[in-house]
Amino acid sequence: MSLLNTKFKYFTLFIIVTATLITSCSKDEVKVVTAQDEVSALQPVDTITKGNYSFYIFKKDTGDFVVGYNEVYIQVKNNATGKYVEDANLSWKPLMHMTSMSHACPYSAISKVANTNTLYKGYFIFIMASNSSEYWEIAYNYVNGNDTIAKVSNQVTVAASTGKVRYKSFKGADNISYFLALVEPSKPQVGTNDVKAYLYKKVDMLTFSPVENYTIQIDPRMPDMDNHTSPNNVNLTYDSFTQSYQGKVNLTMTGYWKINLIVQDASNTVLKGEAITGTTTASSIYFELEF
Amino acid sequence: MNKRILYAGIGLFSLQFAYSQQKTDSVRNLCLKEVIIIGKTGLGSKNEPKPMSSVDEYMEQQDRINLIKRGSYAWEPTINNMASERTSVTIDGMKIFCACTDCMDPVSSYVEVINLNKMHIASGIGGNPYATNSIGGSLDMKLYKAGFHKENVSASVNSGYETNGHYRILGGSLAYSNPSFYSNSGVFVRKSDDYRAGGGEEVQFSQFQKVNLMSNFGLRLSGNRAVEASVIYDVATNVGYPALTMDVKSAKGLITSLSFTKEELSPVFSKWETKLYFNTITHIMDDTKRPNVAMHMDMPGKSKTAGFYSTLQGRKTRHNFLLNLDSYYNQSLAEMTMYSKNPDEKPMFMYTWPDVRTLNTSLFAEDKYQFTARKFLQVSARLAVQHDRIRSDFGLSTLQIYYPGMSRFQNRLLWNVAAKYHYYLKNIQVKVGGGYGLRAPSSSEAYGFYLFNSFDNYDYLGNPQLKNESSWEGNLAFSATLGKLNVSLEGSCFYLNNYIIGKPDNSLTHMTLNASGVKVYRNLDHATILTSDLTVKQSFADYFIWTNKASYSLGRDDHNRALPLIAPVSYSSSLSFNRKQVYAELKLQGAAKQYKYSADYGEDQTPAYLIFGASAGYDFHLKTYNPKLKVGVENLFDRKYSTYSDWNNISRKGRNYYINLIINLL
Repeated sequence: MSLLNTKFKYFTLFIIVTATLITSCSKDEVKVVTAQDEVSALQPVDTITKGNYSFYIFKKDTGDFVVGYNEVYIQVKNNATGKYVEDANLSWKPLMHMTSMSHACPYSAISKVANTNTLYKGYFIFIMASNSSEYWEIAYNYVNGNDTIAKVSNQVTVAASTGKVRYKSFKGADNISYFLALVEPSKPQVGTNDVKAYLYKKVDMLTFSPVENYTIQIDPRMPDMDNHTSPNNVNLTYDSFTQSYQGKVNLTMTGYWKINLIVQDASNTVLKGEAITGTTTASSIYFELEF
Repeated sequence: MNKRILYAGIGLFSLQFAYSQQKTDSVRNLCLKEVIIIGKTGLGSKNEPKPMSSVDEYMEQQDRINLIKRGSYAWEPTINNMASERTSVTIDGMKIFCACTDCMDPVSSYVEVINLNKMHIASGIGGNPYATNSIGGSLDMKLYKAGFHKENVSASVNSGYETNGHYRILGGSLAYSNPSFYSNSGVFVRKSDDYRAGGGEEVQFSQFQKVNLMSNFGLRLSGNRAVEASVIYDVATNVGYPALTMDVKSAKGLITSLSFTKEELSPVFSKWETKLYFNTITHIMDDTKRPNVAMHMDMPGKSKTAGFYSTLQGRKTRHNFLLNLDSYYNQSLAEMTMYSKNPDEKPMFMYTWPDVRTLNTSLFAEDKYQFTARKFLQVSARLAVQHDRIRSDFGLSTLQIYYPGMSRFQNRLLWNVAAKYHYYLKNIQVKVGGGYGLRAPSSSEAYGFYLFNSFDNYDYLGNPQLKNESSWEGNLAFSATLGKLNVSLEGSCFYLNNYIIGKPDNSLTHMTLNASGVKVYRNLDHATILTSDLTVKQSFADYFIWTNKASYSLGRDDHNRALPLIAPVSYSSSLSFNRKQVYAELKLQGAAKQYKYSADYGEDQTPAYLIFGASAGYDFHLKTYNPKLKVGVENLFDRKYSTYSDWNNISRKGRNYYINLIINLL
């Protein structure tokens, strides 16, 4: 019996040692993530080099930027050292050069992507498409305190959105221009989906600010199925941490869904959108999902 | 009752039966409740006006059974005015579940008359060791097996033709028996075009065709042991459902079993049978032949069941007992894909049965205690555990929209008890019984997702939060014979708590185009169902029997409103003549206006009807073969009518002449 106990002790020790070795090995492997690994799932959009620095611009899908929500990823490389900058303080500014005037669009600050060393991200909500004589220009700025380390800019093509409607601009009952863009669900599924959207208003031609504490009512419908809808949807409310609107939409089957919207201000005054009734089959503002 | 005893007396093939008859003799005969003889013995018997009837038509002649008809094929039996959810239909004790969410393919549609020897009907709780989740009654269809006998080879050709719908029937069977081995096989084909309603109007999309193949084997081993196997393969194709918006492309059933029997285990235990079985049902709908389809849909469904039972029978002193351990595992999966008129849009897909897995294990015990030769008490009890699981994540997610946080699993404890006291005086028989039982919700009731019901034009949503439905039952049967007159009266009363039925939920929107709304299955506080039958039979002038039947049913919900699909007063009267090889019958059959129809549950009133029929038969005695010829006419005056259980009031067949010919070759 004691022999058995001794054997058991050795066996346990063996297991512990082996387990420790395996875990430490795998930890080592995790550490060797290169800058290239961090963007391996992304599509390169552009590389802009000026002085000692190169800006690498990526996004998740191929093709041009589109009118509406665009997520942009950035890496900055110091060409003198050959290393990617891990603590860059980055900012940007989009500007539409129209033939008669220029304007900006809603956009976020740039922040580090969690659990990466070299990757930064932000988004634009482009509000119009570019064309042969009118173009979007994005200026990137890398600063250290008051010193500008690098400043680059490039022109981008923004295509009109041809797919399902995920962006709407409208003039509210308060006569303010609003810009509403759907972020999630990016891959809708049958069942309950988290919804995330951004709502901005125009302050002036160059200033767009997130709107706080409004409510966006959602009413998902299937026009093909006698305007079938689902129960227990959760209207979008403002989340100050992400400065976005969040809620839940229930999809009872695959196919084409129209998410009818009503935007209400903080005092519940309807600014835009209509409730669905027997005669009103769709709201004037909506998103579309198809999967 | 007399007829049943007569049938039982004709001689039955199954070992079990022959055996028990020997043992308990007259009492056994009397306690046979409802047995429809179909198989070899019954087929072509003098008293059967239309031996090539479908299984549905056989069932329709029984007192407690009514059939819900959506076309001319695959009628859904109801017992005591209760349909599939509340009744049990088994084949030789095997559980089989339909693969169609709308029950367009009841279990009885996967068998043919040549597969069957008899049907055992039990009204209410109890009386059937193989019935699970049944409170309304049960139907066990016994397969025809050639059995172990002295060496014998037989073959027969069965054929039939009916003018209405150009309905053709052809079948053949071959059987071999010896004391230690038997085998019988058969093939059966039915094909019908659209039938015509009374007045001549064609009922479009009422065509069907089916092929049925079956084979049984038995091997007797030493020590009173036997091994038996059976296979049925049944395929119906191009089945029209005039009452529905779509038809069936194919309904396939493969039903297999292997059983081991040991007899005379000890002086107490007389028979022990253990059967393993597996069946798979596939049902594919088809709307491509319909004009003006608003939206094309694919709706396949499948149901697979594997299970076993082990039945031990015995007797000791005045006890005659039976124990049955029973377990089955069922997979029910049905999907729906809808195609938008806009070809650029992606198809709409959903599970209407989210791959529901049901494991049900039950223990049943029954004892018949004989006080005297004329008095005995029959008591039975069942305890079952049912475990449900939703296998499909997709399906679970959709149901969780309606029932946030709903679990993938569910366990239910189900049980029932029943007792019946039988008392036979010289000319009077009395049976008094009662029982209490629970049933779990069916797959559709618990997990069905937007199942469209064209009867009330609602989409139905299952409800996993349903409580078990329970039923208190009381029943009474009385029969008196005065000379050549026999009067029998039978009645059953059910008081159901947590009665499950769909109720409109105005907060939900329908999905099916032009549906009236969504109904969600709910538990009503209670409901009451009553059924009763009166039969008066008079024999006279040696060769004549005049049989009169009337039935009355009642169904009420907790607000005293009528329940749907409850039969109106119906009646029949037949005069039959039977002398030697000649058989003839005149029959009238009708129903009163359906006064107590259920407008609240989407039913409309069915008018009264009365139809007439006549039939005749002759058994030839030739040297080698003995052909049996039957001819008849149904709905003689070509009345246009429909019954309360005709889905969406589709008209029944108009005048129909038929001929059945059975030739025994060997």
